[in-house]
Amino acid sequence: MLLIPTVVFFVLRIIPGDPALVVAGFDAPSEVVENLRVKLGTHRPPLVQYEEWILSVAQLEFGTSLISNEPVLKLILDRFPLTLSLAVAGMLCALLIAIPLGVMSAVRRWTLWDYWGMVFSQIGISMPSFWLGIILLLLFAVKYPLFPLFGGDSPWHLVLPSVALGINRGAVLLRLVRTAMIEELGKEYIIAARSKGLPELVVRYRHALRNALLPVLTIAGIQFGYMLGGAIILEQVFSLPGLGRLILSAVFQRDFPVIQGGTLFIAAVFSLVNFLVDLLYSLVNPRIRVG
Amino acid sequence: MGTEVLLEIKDLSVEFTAHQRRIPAVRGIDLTILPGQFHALVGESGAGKTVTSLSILRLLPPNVTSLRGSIKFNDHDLLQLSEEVMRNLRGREISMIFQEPAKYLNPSLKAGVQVMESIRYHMGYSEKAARERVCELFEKVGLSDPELAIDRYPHEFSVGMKQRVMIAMAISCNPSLLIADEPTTSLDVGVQRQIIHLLLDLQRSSKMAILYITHDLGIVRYAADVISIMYAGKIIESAPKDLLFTSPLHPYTRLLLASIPSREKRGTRLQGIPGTVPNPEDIPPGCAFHPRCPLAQQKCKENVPPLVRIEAGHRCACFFPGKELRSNP
Repeated sequence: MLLIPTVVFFVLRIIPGDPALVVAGFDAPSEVVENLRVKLGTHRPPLVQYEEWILSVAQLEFGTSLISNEPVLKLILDRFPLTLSLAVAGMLCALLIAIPLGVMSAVRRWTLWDYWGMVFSQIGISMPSFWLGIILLLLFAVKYPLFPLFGGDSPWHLVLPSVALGINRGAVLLRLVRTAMIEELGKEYIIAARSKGLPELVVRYRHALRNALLPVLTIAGIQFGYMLGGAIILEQVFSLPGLGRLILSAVFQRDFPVIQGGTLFIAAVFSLVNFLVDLLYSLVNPRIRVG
Repeated sequence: MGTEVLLEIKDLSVEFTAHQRRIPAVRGIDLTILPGQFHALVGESGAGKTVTSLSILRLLPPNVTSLRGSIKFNDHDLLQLSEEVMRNLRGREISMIFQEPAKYLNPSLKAGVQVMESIRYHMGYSEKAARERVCELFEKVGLSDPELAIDRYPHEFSVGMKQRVMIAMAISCNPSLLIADEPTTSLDVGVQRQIIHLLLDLQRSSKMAILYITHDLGIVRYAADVISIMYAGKIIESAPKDLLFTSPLHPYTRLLLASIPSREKRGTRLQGIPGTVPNPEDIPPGCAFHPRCPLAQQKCKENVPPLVRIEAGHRCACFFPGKELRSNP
């Protein structure tokens, strides 16, 4: 969890671009820039800066933005709800696509239905979500203006980006659901469930899917973590003021504290999500139970 | 009991296709089960016993390419029924227990839920009534602390207890036929005995017929009413238990009986049957048993002996029924 922010920290020190220069303006006199460097602390060796940063982070002190002078934590927490709701909606979309289609593909494997499912999955995996996002925007916001073109104030704004995210992620999960379902449907307890005279839908969704979802859940959790940090370009496409955009613009402006705080935050959330998935896993799988 | 018949299988044959080869698993069998009867179907592995039982429930795997004959259950031909009607029979009129309860129970559903399912689905019980019924059933099959057992997951039970859960599941709707596919094979000897006794008790108390599938003649010795012996996809001898044990007619049956250890045979070397069961992919022509049979003649290699009635209730498929076996050819 600390590794990523550390790498980011030093990469920022190596890449060209001086925050003092950006803050002061490119044509500012060199004394002004030098004074700013001293004020921002960027004139000192990177290791010293790193030590100072780590110590302040340990006290939950993320510093203030170089550009807007607002506390970094406040900036992040302002943007995070939108990113979170986008990730949740995207995950929901992904599961809504992956589970029924995956089950269908597994049940009718090696038939035309299955092939269509696989074709869809292949396309979904190959299509970058930002490109799909642009297409969706052109279709449903420009040509047929059903959804708003940009902004993020209402749930309506989230529909297109989460569909774009959901199709991309769902395509991956679909294959997983299919493989896991094929495996579960071949198991003996399915015969036993059928021998009880249960309807096929109950056999599939209550008996097989319950077990098939275990491996899917792990991957979905990891993907959810990625969505929290990885929707940067999608947020750009849809002009959503989320965490991704915050970090992206911070990168353009060399706003070191925001970049560092943001990546640390994403890494922390990512770890937290994985931890929650592990907890959830033990809840779903009775064989792994803590305490 | 009268003369009414519960299950009547006529000329059933089942063929699989695997790797573009046709594999005849069951090659025309006749089998009759009366209401409340304990019918044992005995044969070595690969003889087609399990395929026969799965055909009754119509739960054969999808690579079955040919299913012929008829299976009459209470005057309905199961093979002609719609899937809908068939599903209503499964679990309610005909149910099944399996060899390895660990594999046949869903690992992520509580034991009680799995038993409740069929009760709620077939008999429309409310959640509460179904729970009570499960408690009753668990008590009946000898699970201690039924209230606790309901909320346990399968992995929290021992194998013997899992089999009891399976039995509770199978008898939950008072079926008239219970198919038991080697239910004791994976259990310890002591537990085997308990399970057999449990099944016998249930059969007697609820007038349920049992089709008991096993490779172990010894285990059905005291339980079965009628025993049918299967070999390479055919029934080769069928008789009431006593008759089969006192005057077996088919050489295969007699060799099987000779291979059961018993007190009288103590100290003598147990007899085995020479050779192995033929692979269903290449069953020998004529009588399938002839390569291993001490009585085999030219006739046996060319013609298939039909299953004929020798005396009341005793049928045998051999050209030389009851002929003396030379002990050491």
